[in-house]
Amino acid sequence: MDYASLDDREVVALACKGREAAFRELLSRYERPVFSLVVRMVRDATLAEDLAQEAFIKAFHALGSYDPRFRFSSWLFKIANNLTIDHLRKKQLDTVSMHGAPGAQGEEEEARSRIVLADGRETPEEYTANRELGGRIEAAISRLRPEYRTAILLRHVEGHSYEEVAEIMEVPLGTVKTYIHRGRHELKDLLAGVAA
Amino acid sequence: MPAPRPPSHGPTSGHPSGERLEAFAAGEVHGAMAREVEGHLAGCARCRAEVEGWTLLFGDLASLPERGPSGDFVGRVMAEIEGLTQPEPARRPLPVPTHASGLKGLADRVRDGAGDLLWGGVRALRRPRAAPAAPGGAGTRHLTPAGIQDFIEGQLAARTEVRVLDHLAGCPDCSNQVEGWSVVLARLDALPRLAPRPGFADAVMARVEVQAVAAVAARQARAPAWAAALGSRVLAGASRLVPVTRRGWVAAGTLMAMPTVGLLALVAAVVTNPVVGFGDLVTFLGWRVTDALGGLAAGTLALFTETRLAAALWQALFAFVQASPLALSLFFLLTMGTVAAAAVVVYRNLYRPHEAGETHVQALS
Repeated sequence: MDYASLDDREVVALACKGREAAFRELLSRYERPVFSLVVRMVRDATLAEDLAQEAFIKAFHALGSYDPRFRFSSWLFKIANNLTIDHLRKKQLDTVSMHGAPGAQGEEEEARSRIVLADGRETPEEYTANRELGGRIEAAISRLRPEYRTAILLRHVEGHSYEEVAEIMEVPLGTVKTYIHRGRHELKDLLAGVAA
Repeated sequence: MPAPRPPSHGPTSGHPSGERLEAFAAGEVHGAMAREVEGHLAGCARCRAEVEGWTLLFGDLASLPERGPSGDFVGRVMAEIEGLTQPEPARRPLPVPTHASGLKGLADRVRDGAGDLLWGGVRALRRPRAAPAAPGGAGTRHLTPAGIQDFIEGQLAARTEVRVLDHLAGCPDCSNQVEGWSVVLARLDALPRLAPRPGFADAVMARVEVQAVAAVAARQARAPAWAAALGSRVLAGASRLVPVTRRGWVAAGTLMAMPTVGLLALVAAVVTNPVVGFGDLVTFLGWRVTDALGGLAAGTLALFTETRLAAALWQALFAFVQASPLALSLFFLLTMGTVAAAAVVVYRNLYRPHEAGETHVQALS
């Protein structure tokens, strides 16, 4: 059976009947989006993998309670987001990865997201010349509040609509718009301040 | 001193500079330089993403239609210019009578000063307003950052979008703001999805009990739909009552503590009563609790003994006691066998690790 051609709801229905291939199909569809969201929230590749695994395990064990009237991706992201937010609240992380975005695959992706900081031996001109576009964005995103970060990532990286982001984050639509607008404003200021 | 890290972006890093990529996206790079950039883009996903971001931005900017000013634009501009160059009205001094030559100079100074104050105010009231009428209609204000973002994302209603376009046609500040925000949004849209390490899916599947999930799903599917809907509604309603903020938890805790506080206050009021002592209160409460427990026990016992089932059980028990020794032995052996089997089942399912999906029936095999 070609699971790739089936809708999410159909794959979930097959998974509820005990088809392991259906579970793997769901994993192949959503492991990157879920991991992308979590890793940019916690900024630690190992921790992000653990949290993403927990999210999938929790979602799969609760597949019986999934309501097909709603999008599977929204339901899955809601679980992953809640898990990540709970972890951040407990740990109150405030670390920044210096060696490229966590989870960056390959030298190009890592170089693109590497955060280059002046170490005192570089002149300001060398620091500015060594910094690259991708790294600025990743560093700026890491400095946003968790809720702003989640809303921005769900909107721009995953391409969810405002309504879907509100459903995933379980906040009103107006709150989502506020989060996104304020998050973008902070990003714009951070990027402008770095470029100044 | 460690060797300096080679720049990751620039002529010596192997990647074209940001300015060159921008110019390439704008179609301003030609000839050998363009071929060099194209060759690099063929093998560099990062630079391709940057060029794509610039292309999107230029595409959005290029799609903005050119619109001319509405109404008598020239006439309004000229009216503003004429208003700014209008001659000030002649100062009209206040008539202040003077009675003596010694006071004339003072009176003149007072008159002039008062006249300055008075006619200065009149001139301010008469001065034409400096705020220019924005093209596109009276009352149009500059765009807010949120409005600009909604405009770029196409979230505005059609009529509002038309007004915004009309405003942008004549407002370079807002146009620059739109350009700046477009760059930010394009950069965000160009963020890549990051992948976990290989083996992620296997690690997840190793911890998922597929058959257990299927069993739970089947059980939930058999439940009546109305029960599931009711259950979900109850849960949803209950979840709304759970506080989210710290203030909410403080308020909820205060409400929950109020009955206890009230009871303690009542006890304190009783205890501090000169007629009733604390010992009397304890004795009274003890009587009440004892009465309640006794009534509960009597009612429960009557529930089980004053029924037909209880009578039948008593009769069966008497018959059993009067049965033959052989029957009693067989019954004893059956009971012991059942207890032993139950112990095995409990041991296999609770204490011994078992394979995923194994049920108690299979454990006996």
